[in-house]
Amino acid sequence: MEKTSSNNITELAKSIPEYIYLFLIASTAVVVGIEWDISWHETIGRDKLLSPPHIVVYLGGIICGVTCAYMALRQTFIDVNLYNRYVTFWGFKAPFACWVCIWGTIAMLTSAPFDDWWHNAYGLDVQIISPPHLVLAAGFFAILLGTLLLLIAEKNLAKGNQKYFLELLFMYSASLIVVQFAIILTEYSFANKQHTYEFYLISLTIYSFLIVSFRNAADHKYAATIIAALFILHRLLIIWILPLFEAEPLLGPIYRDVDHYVAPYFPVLLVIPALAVDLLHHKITISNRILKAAIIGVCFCITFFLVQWHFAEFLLSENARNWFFAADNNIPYWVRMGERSYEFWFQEWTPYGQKSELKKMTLGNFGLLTIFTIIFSYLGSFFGTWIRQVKR
Amino acid sequence: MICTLNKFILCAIILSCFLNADIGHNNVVYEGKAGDIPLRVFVQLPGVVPGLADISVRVFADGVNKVTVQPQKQDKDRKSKSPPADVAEPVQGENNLFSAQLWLMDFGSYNLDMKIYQGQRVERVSIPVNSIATKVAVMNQATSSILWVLLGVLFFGGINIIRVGYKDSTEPPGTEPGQIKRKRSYIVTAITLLFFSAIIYGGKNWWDKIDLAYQQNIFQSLENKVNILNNGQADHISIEIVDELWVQGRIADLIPDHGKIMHMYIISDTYEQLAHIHPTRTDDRNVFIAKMPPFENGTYHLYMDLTHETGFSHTMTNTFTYNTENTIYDPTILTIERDPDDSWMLNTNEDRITWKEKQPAYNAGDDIALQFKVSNNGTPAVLEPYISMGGHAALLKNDRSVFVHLHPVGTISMASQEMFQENYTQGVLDKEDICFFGFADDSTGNYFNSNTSPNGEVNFPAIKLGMPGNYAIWVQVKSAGEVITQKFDFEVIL
Repeated sequence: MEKTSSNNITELAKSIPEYIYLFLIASTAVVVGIEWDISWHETIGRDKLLSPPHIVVYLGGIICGVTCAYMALRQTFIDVNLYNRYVTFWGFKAPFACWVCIWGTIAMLTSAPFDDWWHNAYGLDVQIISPPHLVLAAGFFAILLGTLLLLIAEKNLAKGNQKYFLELLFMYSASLIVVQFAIILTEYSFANKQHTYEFYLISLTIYSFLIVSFRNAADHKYAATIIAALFILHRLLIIWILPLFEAEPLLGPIYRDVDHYVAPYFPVLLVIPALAVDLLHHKITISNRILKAAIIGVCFCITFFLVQWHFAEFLLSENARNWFFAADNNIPYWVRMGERSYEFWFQEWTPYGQKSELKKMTLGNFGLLTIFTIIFSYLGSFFGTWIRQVKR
Repeated sequence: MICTLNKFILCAIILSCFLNADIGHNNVVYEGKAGDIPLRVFVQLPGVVPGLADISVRVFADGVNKVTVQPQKQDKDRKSKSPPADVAEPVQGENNLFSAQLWLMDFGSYNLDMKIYQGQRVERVSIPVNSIATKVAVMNQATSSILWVLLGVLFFGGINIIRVGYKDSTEPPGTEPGQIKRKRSYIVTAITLLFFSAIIYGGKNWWDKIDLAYQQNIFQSLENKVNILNNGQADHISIEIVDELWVQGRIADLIPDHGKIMHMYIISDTYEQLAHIHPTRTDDRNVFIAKMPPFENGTYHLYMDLTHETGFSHTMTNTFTYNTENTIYDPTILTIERDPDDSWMLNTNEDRITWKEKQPAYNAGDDIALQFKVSNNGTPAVLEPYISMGGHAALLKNDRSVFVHLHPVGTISMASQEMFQENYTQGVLDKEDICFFGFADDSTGNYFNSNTSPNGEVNFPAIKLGMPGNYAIWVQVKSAGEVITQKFDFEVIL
C-alpha cells in the first residue's frame, strides 16, 4: 500500500511541468538566503558581494529571472502556443506569473545600486527597514507571489490528484510569503516588544491580510492552519539548524560572545488564529463579505493577542533559554547583554540615536487593533478571491 | 543587513555633538615608529558610520613580512571585545607598502592596533581615529540616471501588471475579457497609478526623514559660550562648555594633550592675527580661562582642540567680537598666569621660514608637501621642540570649512596614542618613537629622539585637501627660546 502511495506521489510530481520546481527552488533559495544572510550579519558581521548567503539569494533571483525570461521569449518569438494560458504584456506573451516574477527580479536589480549608494551615504545597513531594503523586499515578494500565482493557475487547470498535489505546493509557497513578512517584521517582533501596541498593529494587519487571503485562495479545509504550521516549522528548522554551525564575529565592537550562528527570533504562534480563520471560514455561511470579515477579524485579533501576549512572557523567561526556543541565542554580537535583555521594552532608539516611545496596550488601543484587523481581513478576502481565480 | 537594537544608542548619545579632531578633513596621518621600525600610516576615514576606512602603511625597513590592523573600540563605560586583526596586503609594484580596508562599525573613538612583523619580531603602534559621520553624500549623475530608469520600469511595469492581472489573468485560456471588465480595467489602472504614486511620495518623505535624522547626527561643535572678562588688570577669554550632554556628565572628561588640557587657536577674521594659547580649567569643570593676547579689536574665530578619556579628540569652535571697551568686569577672577607656551602673531611680516618647493596652487586630492626651513640672519636656525613637538601648523580654508592642526608626527592626538599604547607598553610613549622634526624615513635618525634640529628644517607629513579654494597655513617653530610664527597662503584647484 505504502509502495503504491509513494509511486503515486512520484508520478504526480513528474506529471506537473518542471519549471514549477524551478520557481519553488528559486523561492526557497531567496527566503533561506535572506534568513542566512541576517544570521550572518548578526554573527559574523562582515560580508561581501559574493558571501555564501548572498550567492544563495542571487541564485534564487537568477533561476527565477532566467526561467521567466526564457518562457516569455520562447512563447513570444518561437512557439506562440507553448502555454495555452498566457497574457500579453507590452507585446510579449507569457503566463501572468512570469511578469510578476520578472518585475521582482528587476526590483532586486534596482535595489543593488540603490543599497550600495545608501551604504556610502548613510553607513552600512543600519537597519532592515530601509528604502533600498524595501525595494529588495518588494522584489522578493513579487518572486514569491509569482510562484504562488503560477501554482494557482496550474491548479485551476489541473484535475484529480494533480489538483490536490498542486494545492499542497501552493500551501508551501504561501508559507514562504508568511516567512518573508516575518523576516521583514523582525525589528518589530522581538519578544521584548510583544507587549507594545506597535507590535500588535503591524503583526495583526499583515498576518490577518495574508492568512485570510490564502484561506480564500485555497481549497483545503485547513489551508490557513497548514500554511501557518509550515511557516512555524520553517522558522523552527532555521532556529535549530543555523546554531549548529560555528562562526565568530569579524567586526567589532563585540559585546556578546558568539561562537555559533545566531538564530532568528521565535516565530509568532500564527497557527492558532489561522485555525480560527479556517473554522470560521467554513462555519459562517453568510454571503455578506464585510460581516464575514468582521467576525473573522475580531476572532483573529483576539486569538492572536491572547496567545502572543502570554507567549511573549514565556519567551522572556528562563524556560525559553534553550536550543528549542533559542531565546538566549537570538541576540547579535553587537548587543550588550544587561538587566533589560529579558524585560519588555516601551522605548527604542533609531539607528541615529533618536529615542522614541512605544505605546502600551490599552482597551482603546485594542479596539483600534480590532478595527484594523477587520479592514485587513476584508482586503485579504478580496485579494484571496482574486488569487483563487487566476487561470493564466 | 541588520544592525539595530542598542548598538547605536549609548554611543550616539555620548558623541552626537562632537566634531572630528580636524574639521572638513577626513584623513589621519601618522609619522613615527613601531618599536624601532619607522613607518608612515595614512587612514582615509569613511565619514559615515558604519563605514570602511582605507589604511595604507609604508614601513621604512626591510624584511617586514606582515602588517596587521585591529580596530579596538574605546568606550566610556563599556567594555567590548575586538574582532580578529585584518592582514594588510602588500601593494603590488611597491616596496614595503601595505594596505587594508577596515570596518568602523560604531560611533566614537577607535584605536587601530597595528602590528608589524619583521622576522620573529613583532612591533606595535597605536593609531587613534574617530569614527563619526561627517558628510552628506550626493548621488552622482550615473547612479541617479540608472535608478530613475529602473524606477520608471518598475512603476509603469507594476501598473501594467496589475491592469493585466485584473483584466486577463482570471479569464479562462482562449477567451477574451468582456466589455465591462475592459472598462473597469481603466479604473483599476487609475487607482493603481494613484496607489503607486502614493508609495513613491511616502517613500520620498521617509527618505527625507532618514536624511534629516542622519544630518542631525553629523558631528557638530560642542556648544560653548565665550566671554571676555576683565578683572581690572587684564582681559581674559573665558570659554564655558554649555552643551547639555557635557554638562550632564554623559561625555567622558578631558585628558591633557602635550600637557595642556586645551589647545586653542584664535584667528582674526582677516587672518592677519593668530594666537596659539592654552586655557586652564577653573574649579568649574565647564569653564576654561586664559589671558587674552594683545590683539586689536575685531572679530575672531576659535579652534579648540580637546582630547577625552576615551581617546576621542575633536575641535570645538566659536566666533566672538573683541572690544577692549566692552568687557565684563569680574573682580573675582584671579590673575591667570600666562602659559609659557602661549604664542601669537600680530600684523608682522615674518620672513624667516621658507616653505620648500611651495607651489602657488595644488590640485585637489594631490599630496601637498609641507617641508620648511628656518633661517636666522641667513644661516639655518637651530630649532628646539615647541610644546613637545618640532613644530606646529594650523591650516584654515578661507571659508573656515576646513581646519587642520598638524605636527611632524601627523594629525593624530598624541594624548590618545599615549593612552592607547599604555595598554600594552606599560608606560608612556617612548620619546624615541616621536617624530619631532621630520620624516620617519630619515636615514640619519636626526628627527627622532632629538632635542634640536640643527639645520633649521622641520617637516610635516604631506596632506591631501579635497575642497578647492584659498587656504592659509601658519607654521610655528621655536628657536633660541623664541616662537616664530609665519603664515603662508596657497590655493587648491580642481
